[in-house]
Amino acid sequence: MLGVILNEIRSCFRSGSTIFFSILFPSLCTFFLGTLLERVDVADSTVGELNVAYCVEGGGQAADAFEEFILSLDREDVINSEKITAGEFESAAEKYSAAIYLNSSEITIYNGANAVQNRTVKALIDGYNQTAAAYMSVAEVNPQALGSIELAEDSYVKPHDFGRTRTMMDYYAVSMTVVIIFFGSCIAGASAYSDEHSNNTISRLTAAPISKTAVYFGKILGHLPLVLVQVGTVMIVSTMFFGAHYCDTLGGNLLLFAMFVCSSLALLSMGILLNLLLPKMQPWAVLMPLIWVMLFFSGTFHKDGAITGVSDYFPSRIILNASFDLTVFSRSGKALSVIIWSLGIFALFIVLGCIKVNTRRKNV
Amino acid sequence: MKEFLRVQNLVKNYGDFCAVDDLSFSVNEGEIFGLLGPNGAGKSTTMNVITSLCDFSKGSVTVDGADIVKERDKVRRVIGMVPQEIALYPFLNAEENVKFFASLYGLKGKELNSAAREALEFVGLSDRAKMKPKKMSGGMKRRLNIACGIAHRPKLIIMDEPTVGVDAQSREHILGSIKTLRERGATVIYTSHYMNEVEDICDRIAIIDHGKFVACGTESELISTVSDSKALKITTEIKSDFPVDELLSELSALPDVKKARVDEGELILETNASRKDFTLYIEHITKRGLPIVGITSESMNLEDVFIALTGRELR
Repeated sequence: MLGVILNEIRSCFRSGSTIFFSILFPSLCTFFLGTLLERVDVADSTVGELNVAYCVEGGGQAADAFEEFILSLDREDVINSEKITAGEFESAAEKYSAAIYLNSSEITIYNGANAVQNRTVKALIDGYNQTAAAYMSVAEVNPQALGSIELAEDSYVKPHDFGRTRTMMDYYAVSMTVVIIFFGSCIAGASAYSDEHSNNTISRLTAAPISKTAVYFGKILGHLPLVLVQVGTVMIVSTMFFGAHYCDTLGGNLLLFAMFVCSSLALLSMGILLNLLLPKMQPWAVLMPLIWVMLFFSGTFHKDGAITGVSDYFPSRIILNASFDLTVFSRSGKALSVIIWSLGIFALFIVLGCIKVNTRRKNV
Repeated sequence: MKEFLRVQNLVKNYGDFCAVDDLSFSVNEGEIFGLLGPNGAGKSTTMNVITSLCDFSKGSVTVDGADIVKERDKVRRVIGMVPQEIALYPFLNAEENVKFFASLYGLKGKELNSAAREALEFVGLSDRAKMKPKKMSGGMKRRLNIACGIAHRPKLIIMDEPTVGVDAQSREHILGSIKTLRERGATVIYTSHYMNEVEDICDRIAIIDHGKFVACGTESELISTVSDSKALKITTEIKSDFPVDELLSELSALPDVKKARVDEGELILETNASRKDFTLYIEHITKRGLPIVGITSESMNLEDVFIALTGRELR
C-alpha cells in the first residue's frame, strides 16, 4: 500500500494542472478578487469632508436644540458647519455639501451634487429627528424625566465592535478556501480511478497480487498531503502575502483549518466513490459545472448570489457560513458541527467504497 | 517438458454472448506460445481470465499447478503482463514506473533497485532511466511497457501485441528480448497481428475463432493440417495468339499439379511436388516454345493457414 500512496503523492505533486488549479489558481483568485472588490467597496463608501450650511428661522426650544445638535457635530469633526441666512441659500449649492433649513414647522435639506454626502446628511438629520421625537414622547408622559436623560449620543447609541473590520480580502480568503476544497478534493477524488483508466494502468493494478482495498486506501491516503497543502497554502498565502485575516486566535485558525481538512476528506471520499460507481464519467466535464453552479448560488463569489431558503442547504453554503461564524464572530458551534458531519460522511463513503471495490468485477 | 499453463474447457459469457466457448489448451514451461485469432475471437478475454482481470463462467485454469481461483494471489505473483496499450504513469520517469509496478509484487529495497535496473537494461533503456514516458518515442514506450511487466521476474509472461506501432529497430529489439526471456526459462504467451513475428518467435501456435479452439501446433504442423501444396510461379512471355487454355489443361494433367492458372503474365502452378520435380513442368513449358523469364516457389505460410481455417484475415 505504501507504494500506491507514494505513487499518488508523486502523481499529485508532479501534475502541473493539479498544482495550478489546486494551489496557484485559488491563491491568485483570492488576491485579484479581494484586491479589486476592496477598491470598489472603498470607492463606494467614501464620504469625504462634509461642509454643511444651516439656517434657523424662528426661535424657541426646537430651534435652540437643533442648532446645538449641528454645533455638536461640528465640535466632533463630523461636519464643518456654517450658519447662513435665508437669502444666501441660492449660492449655497456651489459652496456646501448640503444646506439645512429649519423653521417652526419643518426641516428642509438642500442636497448637493455628491449622493454619498447627501445620504450621510440625511442620516444625521433622521437621527436627530428620531431623538427629538423620543424627547417629545417623554415630555408628554413625564416632563420631569427629561432632566435625567443625557443628551450625549453615546447614551442611546451603544456601538459594539464585532471584532476586526472585515475586508473583501478577508471574505475572499475564506471563500476561495471553500472553493478549493470543492474543486481540489472532489475532482481529485473523482479522478483517482479514471486516471488509472486513461493511463491504462488499471489492468496492471488489478492483475497485481495486491488487494483492491489496499489500492483504495492507498489512493485516499495518497491524496491527503494534497488536501493539507492546498488548504494550508491558500490560508498562509492569503494571510502572509495578501494581508487577509481568518480568525484572531491560533486556536480559531486551527479549528478553521481542521474544518476545511475534514470537509476536504468528505468531498475526497465522495469523489472516489462517485468514480467507482461511474468509472467512465469525466470528472472535469461533469463535476466542474455542477460545483460552479452550487458555489455561485451559495454566495461564494458574491454575497448576493445566494438564494434565500435554498442556498442554506448547499454544502458549500453550510461550510461558508460556519467559516464566517468562526472568523467574524469567533463562534465555533457551526464549525464543530461541520467537522462532525464531514467525518461521518467520510467514514460512510469509505465503507461504501470498500464494499464497491471488493464486489467489483472488471471485464476488460 | 513440464506443462506450465493449462486451460481446461474454459467458458466465459457476457450475458447471452459467449466470448470463450469450451476452450482448452496447454503451454509448456519455457515455451513461446502464440495465440492467434481475428478481432473478437476471444484472445483478450482468454488472456484476461489467465491474468485474473476477469472471472469466467465455467472450466478451470491452472498456472504452475495452482488454480487461478483458489490460489489467486499465488498465481498473480508468477505472472507478468504486457498489455497492448501503453500502461505507464506519465508523471513518473522510466525507473519509477518500473519500480512501482515491481513493488506491487512485493519487491523492495536493494532487490527492487536491482530488478528495475536489470529490466531497463534488458529492454535497452538503462540510459533513459530518468526520462518520463511523454518524452519517449513510441518504440521506447513499448520497451518500457515490457520492462514494467517483467521486472519482478515472472515465470509466465503474457504479451498482448507488444510491437504495435513501433519502428523496425525497436521491433527487432523486442522480439530478440522475448527470445532471451525464453532462454532464461520464462514461459511466454504472445499475440500479434504480425504473422511473420509469430512465425519467427513462437514455438507453438493456437488459432481460436468465435471463442472456440480451431487448431494448435507448430507452424509446420498447422500448415500440414491445411495443405502441403506450394505455389510455383513461372514468368513467361505469352503472346496474344498463344493457346493458353490448351496449355493450362495440359499442365493440370501433369503429376502432383492441383491447379494451373495465368495471372498477369505469370503462369502459376499449385503443386505438392518437391522442388526436384519442378523440372518436369519447366520442360513441358519450354517444349511449347515459351521462354522462361523467371521462376519462384512459395510455400504456404501461417497467414494462408489462418485464412483457410477462419475464413478471415487477421486484420
